[in-house]
Amino acid sequence: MDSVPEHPDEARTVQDERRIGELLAAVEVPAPAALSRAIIELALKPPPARRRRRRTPVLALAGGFAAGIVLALVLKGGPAPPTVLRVSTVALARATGPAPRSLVAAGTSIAFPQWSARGWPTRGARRDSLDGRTVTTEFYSSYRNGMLGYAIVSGAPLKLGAGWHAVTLSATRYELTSAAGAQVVAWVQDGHTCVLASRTASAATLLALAVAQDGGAPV
Amino acid sequence: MPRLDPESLPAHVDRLYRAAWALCGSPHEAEDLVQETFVRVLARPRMLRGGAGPPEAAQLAYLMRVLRNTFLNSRRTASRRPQVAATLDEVDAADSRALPESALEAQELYGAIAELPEDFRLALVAVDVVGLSYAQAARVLGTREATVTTRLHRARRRVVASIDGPAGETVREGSPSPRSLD
Repeated sequence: MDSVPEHPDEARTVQDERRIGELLAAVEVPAPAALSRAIIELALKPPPARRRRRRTPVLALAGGFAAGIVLALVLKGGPAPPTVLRVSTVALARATGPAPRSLVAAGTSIAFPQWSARGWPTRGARRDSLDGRTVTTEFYSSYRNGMLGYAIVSGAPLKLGAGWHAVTLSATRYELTSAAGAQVVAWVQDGHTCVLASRTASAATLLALAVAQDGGAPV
Repeated sequence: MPRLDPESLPAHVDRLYRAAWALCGSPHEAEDLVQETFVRVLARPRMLRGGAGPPEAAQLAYLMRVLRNTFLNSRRTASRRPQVAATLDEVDAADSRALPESALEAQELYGAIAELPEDFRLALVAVDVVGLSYAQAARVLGTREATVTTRLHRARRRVVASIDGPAGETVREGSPSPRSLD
């Protein structure tokens, strides 16, 4: 390939152009379904907070303020309902120890995925008790996208609360919201609430990871 | 100056994905690259410049520009990080989907494109994979149209030679071809 001439003649130029066209036309592979759906949903359905702000700015501001108060109360250990938003504060906290090679969430049979091949190696884990529920969280970090926490809650699915935006992908309903500068994606898997939360990664990134690991399939 | 309509962007996902695959040579990296590109584009409202021609063409040109910048940034970032060779387990885990024959052919072709020098690769991806005009590609790549033309010719020649092998080089200048023996 190094001996390719500097000035190809016109006949060859036409021949190469035609040949490249044939080659590319033969391999018009579509984008993976999960990627397409994540981008479609992201593009077609903006976060509800943005839409609510346009329609009822005062209510939206009040809602955001209330969410901030809830988060602050939770971080201080104050009383708060056992909602998914509360779990997300744990997912946004720090790891308390290293993560074992294969971690199964307490009270469930759900194993945390290995996302190192996707650029998200494990960075630690923690276990918390919230109102009688055990929350097992594994943390992942990415050079480009910072840190995220993946929390799995024992027991029956938790209440979502208000201000969530539903997206159904691969027959699974994912709920998205943003609060206190963090993106949160929640869904129910094997009868348990799963929560991905990050202050640095986008909702699309969280959603793509959630979709990719749904059902315990390797990522 | 028209505004970029987010709802029209998903129509370009497949094309951007193929472009990303040809740029980085890996379907797995291409997914990340496309996702990062759309996240950047959708992060805030965007205005389209140089609005001559259909809006779809302007959108594609804009997406190609962001894809190129994201790709170059990721390459610069990666070059500063220590390189870790992927294990076979990681490769298997990275893409558990069985690759159909078309995907294997795509890997061969996009892999050949990904081996081109960066300038050649970007020219071929912009024009042949994304479908930009030479003038649009020149604007997106920040160079002259004549330069795009030259890079494109050389890129196509190299890829055809790489895919078709010696048979595809029978008319190559300066090298004897079977017909020249007559």
